[in-house]
Amino acid sequence: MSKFFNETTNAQHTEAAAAAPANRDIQQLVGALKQSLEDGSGAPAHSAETGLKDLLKPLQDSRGVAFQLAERRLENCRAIRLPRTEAKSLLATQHNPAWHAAVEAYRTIRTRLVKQQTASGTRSLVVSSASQGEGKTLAAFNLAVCYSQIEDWPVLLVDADLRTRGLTRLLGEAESRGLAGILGGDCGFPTEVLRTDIPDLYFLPAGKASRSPTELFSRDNWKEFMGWASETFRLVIVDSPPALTVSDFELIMAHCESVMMIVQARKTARESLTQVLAQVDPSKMAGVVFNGAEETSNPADHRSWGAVQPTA
Amino acid sequence: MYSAFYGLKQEPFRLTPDPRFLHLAEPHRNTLRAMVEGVAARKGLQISVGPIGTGKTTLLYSLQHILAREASVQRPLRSAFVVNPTLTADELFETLFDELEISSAAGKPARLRALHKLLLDSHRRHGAVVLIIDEAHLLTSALIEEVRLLLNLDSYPVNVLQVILCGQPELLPLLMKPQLAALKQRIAVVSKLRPLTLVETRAYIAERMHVAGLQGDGPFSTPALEEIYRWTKGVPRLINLLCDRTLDLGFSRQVRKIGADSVTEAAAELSVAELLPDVATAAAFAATPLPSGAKI
Repeated sequence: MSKFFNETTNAQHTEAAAAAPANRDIQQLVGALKQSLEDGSGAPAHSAETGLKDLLKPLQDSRGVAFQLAERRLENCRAIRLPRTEAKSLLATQHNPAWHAAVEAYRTIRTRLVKQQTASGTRSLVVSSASQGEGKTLAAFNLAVCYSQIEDWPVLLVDADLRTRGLTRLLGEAESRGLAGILGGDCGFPTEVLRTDIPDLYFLPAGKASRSPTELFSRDNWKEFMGWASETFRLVIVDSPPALTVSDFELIMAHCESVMMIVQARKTARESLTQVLAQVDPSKMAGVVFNGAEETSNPADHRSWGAVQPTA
Repeated sequence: MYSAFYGLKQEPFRLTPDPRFLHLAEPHRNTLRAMVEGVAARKGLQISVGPIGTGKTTLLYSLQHILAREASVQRPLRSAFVVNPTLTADELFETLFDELEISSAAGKPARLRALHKLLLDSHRRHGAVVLIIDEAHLLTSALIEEVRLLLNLDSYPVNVLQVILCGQPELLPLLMKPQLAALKQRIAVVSKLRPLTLVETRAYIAERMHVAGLQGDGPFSTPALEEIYRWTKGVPRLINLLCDRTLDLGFSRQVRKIGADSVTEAAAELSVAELLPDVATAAAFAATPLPSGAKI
């Protein structure tokens, strides 16, 4: 390597040896790397693939720190098995060729969002719509499954619709004091988050609100929870109540970094959409999904299940 | 000093610099990954830009650490790290040769021959020669042209010579000058560094505390974390500085859960506001799209 690099590395090794680092975890983590740096003999065998894999290992170890942190925080959370009966709703978990186009459409949405999120650094996404029944809950769930399929992307799906609790009902009413409990200050964060049987997918049910949801979301606990969750997970997807019917949406959005709106074909009124979009901070707008349009004869056309149109 | 008080095995923001890449924040990891992949895939010319204090030099240093793994007698990987590129063409060659630890007779033709011989030797052994120029926005047009001519020297089926130009955002418009069109066409990867967001700042702090041995809840309250972000605007170097000072302050007052006021006090002591790079420029830069074909 360069003379500058060799000289600085040697100087640092001498310093490091003198300082005798106390943290054994770090030492173990980088032991292999240090070995190869120090004696030059630990260089890996070289086929192109193994070469690149070996080269990127320190970065994977680095990503591993985020994982260890998440693992430690979530070590006590309970595991649940998601129901498979609502087959069509939970389509991203199925391998049915009939839904191939729909699953592909969700993956397309995910891919576009990942690109935006990597560039902007956002780690939370609210999924909402103008009014009830436009498909936001299903979109939020299927999108979360698609995200969890990316390697190294732990995802938390939150049912923040404390009124209808659609996602919680869809996923089998798992036992947890849920978000309502957390907002009410009755319980800690990790104890209510559930580990699902889909790897890397975690779920926080709505719970049962003893007070008005608007009052609960006005509390600092919502901000505290979103801060903790965004530190722990690579992405937090929040299924929110409709934007126009209740004021919860604005309170929810205040502590989330991006918003995705669902528009239902032949249902969402143009005026409602305009009104909703005016409510959202444009810098937070990740995109709009057009949902439930007619199937077209062209199999490559996935508009039947929508695609994200970035608005920024 | 404060470590034991806050349940840490060592000071989280003053970790030994050796395994630096372990403490990179997410966007920096992505940029570094793109750079390593670029070299491994022998892409040729890479550009990396970011405002002051976003960690460019740290990243280049980490890159060399990672590339050092690939270097072996059987498969040599030589690198030259030019830290200050305010040089004449002659001085650039001198630095390059000094860095690559090769010698040649004086004069440009002899030097080019020596470099060619090095490239040929590296090519035969499936190796590479990596030229990294930091602060590349300070390069003159004439020197950039020299770099392009160096790339021309490399006429093998795969690019043996890998050039990474890293600098402040002004580097991009510099490369867009019409007279540098030939170089522009050779750019294979463009990556952009930006300051961290509030959430990334929180995650970065949490990860470092975890590596330093923290078991339970962290000492910073949410208002304190927001205050850290407000003062540092997500610049990692300043986050380290401010967190370290704040923990020191918290320990001296025996405060278990640190509030925003301690952060404000530490920021004033350190005059963080004066250390902050031009944030308006940084934010505008983060919002501008990259040229086509750019990564990250």
